Amino acid sequence: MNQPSKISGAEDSVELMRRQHASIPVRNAAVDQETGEDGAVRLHVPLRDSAWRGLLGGLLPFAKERQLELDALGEEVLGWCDGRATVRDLIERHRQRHLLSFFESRAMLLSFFELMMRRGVLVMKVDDAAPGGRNS
Amino acid sequence: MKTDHTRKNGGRTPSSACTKNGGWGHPPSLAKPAQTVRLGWHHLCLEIPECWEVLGYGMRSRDGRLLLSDPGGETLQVHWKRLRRPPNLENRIAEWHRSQGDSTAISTGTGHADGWLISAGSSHPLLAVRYDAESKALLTLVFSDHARQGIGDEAIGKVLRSFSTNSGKQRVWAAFGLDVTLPAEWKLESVEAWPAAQRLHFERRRNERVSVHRYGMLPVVVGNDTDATFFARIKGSRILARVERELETRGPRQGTLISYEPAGRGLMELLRKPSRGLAWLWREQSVPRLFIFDQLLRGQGTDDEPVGEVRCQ
Repeated sequence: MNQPSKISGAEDSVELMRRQHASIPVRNAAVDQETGEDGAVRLHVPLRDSAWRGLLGGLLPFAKERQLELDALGEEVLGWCDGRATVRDLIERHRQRHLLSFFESRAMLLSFFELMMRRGVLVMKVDDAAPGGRNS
Repeated sequence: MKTDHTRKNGGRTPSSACTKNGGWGHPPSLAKPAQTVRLGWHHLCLEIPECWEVLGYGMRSRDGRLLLSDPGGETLQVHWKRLRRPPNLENRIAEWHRSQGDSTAISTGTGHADGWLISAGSSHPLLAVRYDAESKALLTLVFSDHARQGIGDEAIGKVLRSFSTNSGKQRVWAAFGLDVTLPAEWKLESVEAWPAAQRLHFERRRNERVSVHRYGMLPVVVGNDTDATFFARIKGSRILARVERELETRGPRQGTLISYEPAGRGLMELLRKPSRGLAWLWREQSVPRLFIFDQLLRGQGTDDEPVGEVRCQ
């Protein structure tokens, strides 16, 4: 039988996308950025001290920071994250810059933001007062 | 996002476009931005707002679904299922409403229009079902509330009216910015839909393949390579390629024609049946994208005519 799935999920997706697009990527102020002689951009992400690291720090050479190298596209997008532009703004900017469709740019940027968040370079500020937010 | 979706792209007639095969010479749609684009998949062709993109797809001809969205959220689900005999469409609508936990909307807003049985309350998704006798498929379209609010029921009516069956000798495969018309014996084999790189692969029989590619972000993806070098790069080292003609003109397009032979490995090379690949690469400056039509056919014939037609969206 050709019974379409209940479409209530569609309304959830509208709310989810609204909230996602209203979020603001904010750079971690503790991350240092440097451009090497080869033109590559490197990020230095300080690592948090844990109890284990404190105890063993004198014995083992723990790294104090993590280094990340960005390609030109990553550097460009990270440069756009000024703490004011929303995800939607950045998708539109990326789409116009590279002449892609909305969902092509969205897929690229969301996976980039996810990686940057996992590495501690970015945090996502979710506005609960925005449409689709918790307090809206 | 509310836009005027009433104008057709380049004056194309959707119903006739689904069965038209003009070879390479079919003029590309140069007028941008288009207001509507063609969606062609198993059993159906529709003209949809250009901001609706396919986010999910089913591969099987027997049954499956497509999921479309615009930047604001999900807009349309397309379901298909092949049936041995025509179903009772009213029952299908009633079943759907029951699954939504609503039995009242059936009597309030069900009606026939342009071959579709439509059911829509004021605060419900709009459901349209039809049985396509040519493909023997039950087709169900579910337009979300978001779509109804975004483009309005009148524009949805135009989408429904643009329906044409996709079950003739020529089949249209139009999604992800690609739009190719192929003879029916070419079956959809796989889809690769990545940002800035989309490919549809078709197979007729073993070792006979057609692939249609579309690439964006050309300064990044292609870089300083020539198109021929880029093609060799994406095909890998298992081909012996030769540029047949550069600045080859076919219809309104100018591009590069490449012939290649797939190379086997070891014993497989001896057992391999002779086959010849031809790839036609061209750039659409108006989009701007690099398109590739790649066909691999059995035999060593010199026929370099394409088996399908590609439009550029």
